[in-house]
Amino acid sequence: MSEASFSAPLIEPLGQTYGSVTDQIVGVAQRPINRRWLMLVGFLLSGSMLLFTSVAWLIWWGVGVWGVNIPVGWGFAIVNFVWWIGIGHAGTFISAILLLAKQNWRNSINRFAEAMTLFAVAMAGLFPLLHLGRIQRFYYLFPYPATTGAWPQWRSPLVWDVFAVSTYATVSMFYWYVGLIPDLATVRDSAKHHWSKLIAGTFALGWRGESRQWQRHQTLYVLFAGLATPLVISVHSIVSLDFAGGIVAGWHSTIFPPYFVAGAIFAGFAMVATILIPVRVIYKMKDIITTRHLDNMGKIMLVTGMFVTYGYVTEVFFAFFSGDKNEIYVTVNRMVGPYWYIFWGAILCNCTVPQLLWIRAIRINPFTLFIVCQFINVGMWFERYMIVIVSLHRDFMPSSWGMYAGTMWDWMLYIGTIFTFVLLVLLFIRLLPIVSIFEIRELLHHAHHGHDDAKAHTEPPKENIATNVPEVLLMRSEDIYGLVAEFETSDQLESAVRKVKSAGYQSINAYAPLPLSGLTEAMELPRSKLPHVMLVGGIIGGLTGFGFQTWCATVSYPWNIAGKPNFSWPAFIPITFELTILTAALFGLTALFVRNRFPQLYHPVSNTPNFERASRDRFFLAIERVDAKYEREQTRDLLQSLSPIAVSEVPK
Amino acid sequence: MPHESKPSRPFWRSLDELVGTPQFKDWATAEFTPEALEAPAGTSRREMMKLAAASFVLMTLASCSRAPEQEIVPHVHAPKGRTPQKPQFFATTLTRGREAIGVIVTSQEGRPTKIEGNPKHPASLGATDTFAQAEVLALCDPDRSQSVIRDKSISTWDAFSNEIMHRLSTAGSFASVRLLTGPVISPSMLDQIDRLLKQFQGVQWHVHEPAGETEAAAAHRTIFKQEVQPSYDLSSAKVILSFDCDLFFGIPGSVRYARDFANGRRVRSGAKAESMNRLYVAEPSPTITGSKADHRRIAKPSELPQWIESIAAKLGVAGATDHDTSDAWLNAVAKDLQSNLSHSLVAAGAGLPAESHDWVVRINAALGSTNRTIFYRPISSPAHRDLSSLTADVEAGKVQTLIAFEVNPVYDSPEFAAVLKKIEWKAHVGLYRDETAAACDWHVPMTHALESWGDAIAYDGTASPIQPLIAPLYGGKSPREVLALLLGEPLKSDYDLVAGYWRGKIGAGAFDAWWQASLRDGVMAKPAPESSLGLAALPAKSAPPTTHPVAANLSALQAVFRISSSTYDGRYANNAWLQELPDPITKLTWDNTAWLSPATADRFGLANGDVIQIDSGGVKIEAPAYIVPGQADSTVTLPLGYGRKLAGSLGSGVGFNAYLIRPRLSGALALVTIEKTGRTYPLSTTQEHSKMEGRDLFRTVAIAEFNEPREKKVVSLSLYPDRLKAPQQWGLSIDLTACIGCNACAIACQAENNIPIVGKEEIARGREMSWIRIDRYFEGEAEDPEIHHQPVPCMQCENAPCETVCPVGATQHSEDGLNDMVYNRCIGTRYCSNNCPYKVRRFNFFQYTDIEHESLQIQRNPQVTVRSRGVMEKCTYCVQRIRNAQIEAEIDPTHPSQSVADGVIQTACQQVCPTQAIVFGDIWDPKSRVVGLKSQPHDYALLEELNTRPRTTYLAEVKNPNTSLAKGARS
Repeated sequence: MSEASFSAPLIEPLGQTYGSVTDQIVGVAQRPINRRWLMLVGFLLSGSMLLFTSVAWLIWWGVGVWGVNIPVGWGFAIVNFVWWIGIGHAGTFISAILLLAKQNWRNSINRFAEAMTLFAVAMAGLFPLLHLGRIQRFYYLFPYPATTGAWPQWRSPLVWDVFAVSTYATVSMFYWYVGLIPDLATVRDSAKHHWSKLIAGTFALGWRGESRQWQRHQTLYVLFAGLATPLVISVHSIVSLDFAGGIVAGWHSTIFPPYFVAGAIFAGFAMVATILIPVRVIYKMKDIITTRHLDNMGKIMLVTGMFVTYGYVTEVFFAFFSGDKNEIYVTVNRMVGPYWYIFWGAILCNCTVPQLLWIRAIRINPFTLFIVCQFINVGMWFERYMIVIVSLHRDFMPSSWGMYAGTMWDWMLYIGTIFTFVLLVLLFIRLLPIVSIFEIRELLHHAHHGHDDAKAHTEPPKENIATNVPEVLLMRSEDIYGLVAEFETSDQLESAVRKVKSAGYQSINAYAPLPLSGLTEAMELPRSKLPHVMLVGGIIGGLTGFGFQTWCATVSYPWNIAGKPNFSWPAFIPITFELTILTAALFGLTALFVRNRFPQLYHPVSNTPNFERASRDRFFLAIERVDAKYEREQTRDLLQSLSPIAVSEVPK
Repeated sequence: MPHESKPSRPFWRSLDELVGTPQFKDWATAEFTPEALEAPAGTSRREMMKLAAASFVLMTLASCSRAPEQEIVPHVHAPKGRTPQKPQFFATTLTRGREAIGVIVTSQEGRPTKIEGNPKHPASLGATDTFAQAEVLALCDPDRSQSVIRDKSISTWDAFSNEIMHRLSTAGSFASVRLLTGPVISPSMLDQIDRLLKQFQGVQWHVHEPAGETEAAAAHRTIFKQEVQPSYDLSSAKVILSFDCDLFFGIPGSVRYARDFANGRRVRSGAKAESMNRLYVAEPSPTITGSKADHRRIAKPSELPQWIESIAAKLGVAGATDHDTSDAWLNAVAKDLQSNLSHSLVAAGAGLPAESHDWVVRINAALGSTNRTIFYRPISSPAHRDLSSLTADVEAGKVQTLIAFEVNPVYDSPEFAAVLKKIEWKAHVGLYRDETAAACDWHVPMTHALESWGDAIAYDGTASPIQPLIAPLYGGKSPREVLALLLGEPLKSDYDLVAGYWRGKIGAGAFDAWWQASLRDGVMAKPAPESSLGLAALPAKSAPPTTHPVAANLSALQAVFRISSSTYDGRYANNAWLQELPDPITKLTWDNTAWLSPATADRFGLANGDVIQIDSGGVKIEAPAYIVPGQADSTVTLPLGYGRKLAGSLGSGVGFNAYLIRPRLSGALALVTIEKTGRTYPLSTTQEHSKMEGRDLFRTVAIAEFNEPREKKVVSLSLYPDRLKAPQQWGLSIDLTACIGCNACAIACQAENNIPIVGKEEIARGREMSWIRIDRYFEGEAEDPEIHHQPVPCMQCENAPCETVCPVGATQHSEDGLNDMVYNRCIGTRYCSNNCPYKVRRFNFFQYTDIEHESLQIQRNPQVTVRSRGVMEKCTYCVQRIRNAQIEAEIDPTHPSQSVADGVIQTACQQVCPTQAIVFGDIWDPKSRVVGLKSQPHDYALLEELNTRPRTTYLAEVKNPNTSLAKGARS
């Protein structure tokens, strides 16, 4: 896709620099706490008390405080679970799928969407746990060596769900955290308070922006995207199997997995926009989250909304095409039964209103887009209500038909999760860079590269080239780490690296505030072994998963489940898949930690004057004293000849 | 720490001591030596220890103050014939009104836990009704009266006996002393009353039976010149015509009638139409009997007397006028009766006037049915009068002393409350401190039938013994003991009284063996029941035929009063099982309602739950309306037995009291007006939807088409090899022709399987717990539908959809084909219930099982896990019974194959079923009964298209319609 196809700029105005974007984004988190913010947090905190109160009430009295009954055994809890987990799909979709598709406009919103994913998945994860009749026995869902010898029943979609959701939560968190590490370093380096420096520094693990770190980081990041893409699709597919795996008319449908995934992305983007639009206004981030982002999000909602509509049409068509009287009844009952307003509400909100997104003016107007998103948020809740409750309330035996209504405690819990979610988002905004700074730097880099690289860089240096010598000269040589040169542009750094390399130096390190492919080439870094590690991890995870399930079901504790064979291998696939992803991700993350020697909270190079700008807008080249060719004067002369801003002799 | 120290602050034991009240000082002086009262000043640690030890010993002694009076011996060696943890079974009899039903009670470690019918007893033949099942719960009801009460304060039996003896000895004339009882069917008690009436000349005995057949009794008295108990033999009846007589519910012998009726309809492959009986029912309001009719006709109460007379006329009864010469239905019915002379039967319900009962006697005589299908057994009993004569005597100032036994007229005869106040001294003996007890000066708690000795005469005259299963839980005296007190035999125990009576009857020599046999069998071999009266010469009709005036006022409705399917006449109001048992027709729990036909409800603009005011001659009550398809237009049915004020913690204030507007004469036509109040009342039903929506869940076939070849059954396909290997595979067959919808299976299951009750609110939220429910469908037009009853337990699907979806394997398949539920493993995801197409799974949304009341715990079946909050449960095919039988078979040395013989295992629902509609057995044994049933042409599986391969299958209902009556002729 050529750049020209996107006429609108990704960052406005064009005059932004590495430094200015950094300051702007970090600034959001470091703004002083004012009374308005405290009031808002207080309000959300009290709202989140609804969650805690209703959970306490639920645990004290039992799941009967909710509106669930027979025949509607699943009520709000499952509706809300699917709703939240759907919302939790946008982040990974934006981060992973758009990354793989090289949709670099995603860079301004991915961090935010990923955080939202985590919070939404956290909210979602509450519900399946809380809806258990015996919450205290939730661990029966996990394979652990029980004294009874029993294992989970691997054919149940609910067990698949446990693995899918926990894998998704884990991998999403890894992915989010890995992406956050360079920015945490930026926060560390620009922190004004000791404590924020300490905390950010701890979580930054010793990130220095060194070229090898960047190379591994970028490799892992892309691989994580590669893992997360099938994962995000699998999660909602598996959630949909909670229904499609049942025999209930209205559930038992093969269209469910793709239809659920599309619905999830649809709902997820609506929620991202719902949160992002006010944030963009409040924190004056129109420069970073531009109208083009709104436009693109609107388009994605339009497309996924059409998928969802197609799903509805298919369901109705196949109900009648099947000729099955129960399916037909359920379909007609959705339309004209006692819950008709749920069905038509879903149609209005998910199919009709999003058609407005054909109009560009509506897409790029934050207000109208926000309104459309609210319809989608509500509509997708209706859709889940329709699937879960309206299918159950009138199934095969008319004698057992019944009605369902959420109780006060159902509503309190649901509203409580919304408050808690917004509270978490708000805290995230306060505490962490809500936009991926290094990726914005990349955007700037790409936008300007080839035209005028210097524009992306900082204002002219305040000090002239100088060698910071005095006290260093007094140091004994074994106390010296090496010589570090500071550069203003990436091009300067890259050419410097080439020159130093050609001069025969081996122990050199190059530091940049963004990943630079040219630097990797200049450093002549070998290809990372991370992919192999992750492949091995994935294979181990998959084989272990499949083997373990087979062993449980055939050797360790075979039981007769509905006359199915003990070795019901198709039912073992979902968990095998999830474990493949999970183990690959675990191996990848472990490899990153091991190779980068994380956490490494002290490194001598940080003694370099001005080095805190290595995570902002400056480029550094270090030649270590341990290098065979290292000679204090000669090396300094070499570095001085590369037109750096400064050259420093850095103590250990 | 200093050894010598004086407490710096005075310690006090109670507020009384602190204040220094004289009561405390008195008490303390009486309880302790003065030294002991002093605070232990200057006590060393060693002395403190001594004191502590001494007080500990004293404490132990104090707790032994109630040492048993006699020496007790622990049984180191178990008594002969008793194995711990193995239940024992005792035969006894349960009575209710004139009904006596022989039962066998399961006793687990001395606790009666379950009641089964006694196969040797004619009224039971091994089955029971719902009320008998609920008696184990009634026994341990924590609300039962537990102490003698005098004027609202606790008194003693001795005080009561002293006072009553004093009263009797000082009574000027015994004519002012009255006994008030329910119907007495106990020979020994009748003998006591007889002796009492003789000993105290002038004492009068009044019998009060709110749900009794007073009109029929009056008619029979006129004809037979003595009291008779009519009974039917449905087994030899080919054509049965019922005029609003609910043969299968609530009348003496109804369990047996249901059995005989069903036996006459059990058609099997190749059966001819002639082999099947035919039932015609004309009734204003649907009953379970009406729902089984081949031709049910809706009739207003005002129409029935006329129809009865017309039938009499058509059958040539002298003096009868045919009012409906051109009525096709009556003509066809009369013809059918006529062509089955001496094999037909006409029955009339308690709500009909004496006049109609008179005609019915004559019709049956004309049909040659007397002493073939209907019997009139003479009843010998001391002279007695009814409640209205007692009322009249009180008003006339003739009554000063009243002793009421087991009756509650203050509740069920509303005008009696004022009457009772006028009696100087009144005592009440009963199970509960009910409305009447509260209005009496004395109340004596009564023993439950399972706590006392006794005897009873069944509907057909068979005598049977009552023996206690347990010592009285709450103390209490039996009516026999109270009567013995009056007779001056205060030291005689229950046992002495009953056994003494029978010793006199049988003769001392033969008594012991006879008594042992009677107790063992639950039936007394001697004396033989008195034979039925012949009808050589019927007296001629004397009075001119009367008919009910037809309501002129359009807004006036004819009221129909019915005993309740749950509380009977109100006596079971505090029985939670019965209160929660859905009415067979309305499926309502925990309430009674005013039943209206759809058209009538429409006319008044009423929907279910709308509160209406019912006005009967100025007396007004309020009741929620309920639309009942099959109800006659312009009628309102008002179930009795609700609206109790002092029933107990569960039954008080439930429903409305229809007795308040019931005419004193049960056969009188009651006209009421109704008015909408605009308020609504929440009702709890277990079935909200009554239509089948075109699904073939309940299947019916006419006998004529029964043997026609029909479509082949769906062949169930599977990709997987069959993996069930056990030599015996269990299955169940439910015969819908036989099922009368009586609910006995549901309550038997509740008793057997420790199923909790959930209460009205939880039922309203769709959370009932019944493991076997009886689905009731209305088919056809709402005005005059077919009514179907379909028991639905767990289908025990071979391909059980519930099992696949359980994430923890809490439900899985046993080797012998049961869908097992592992409570301890269940975490309560409820996915299994969602995925159960039959919706037979039940969930403990709250802690439903009452774990607080200790007395309720004695009822629970120790072989069935008591479920806690948050777990799923469902029918297990009574797996505990299966496993017990398998263990028995396995340890039986004489048994070669170690498999359980067919018929040894009966599920609780099967065992209780009055019509034997449920048959359990091994589906791999080609000779088993269940296989015989499942191979019938009308066997079908519910929702078989889902390929769940259910082990429970149904036999379609076979109907035997009269071909000369087209369907349209039903109205």
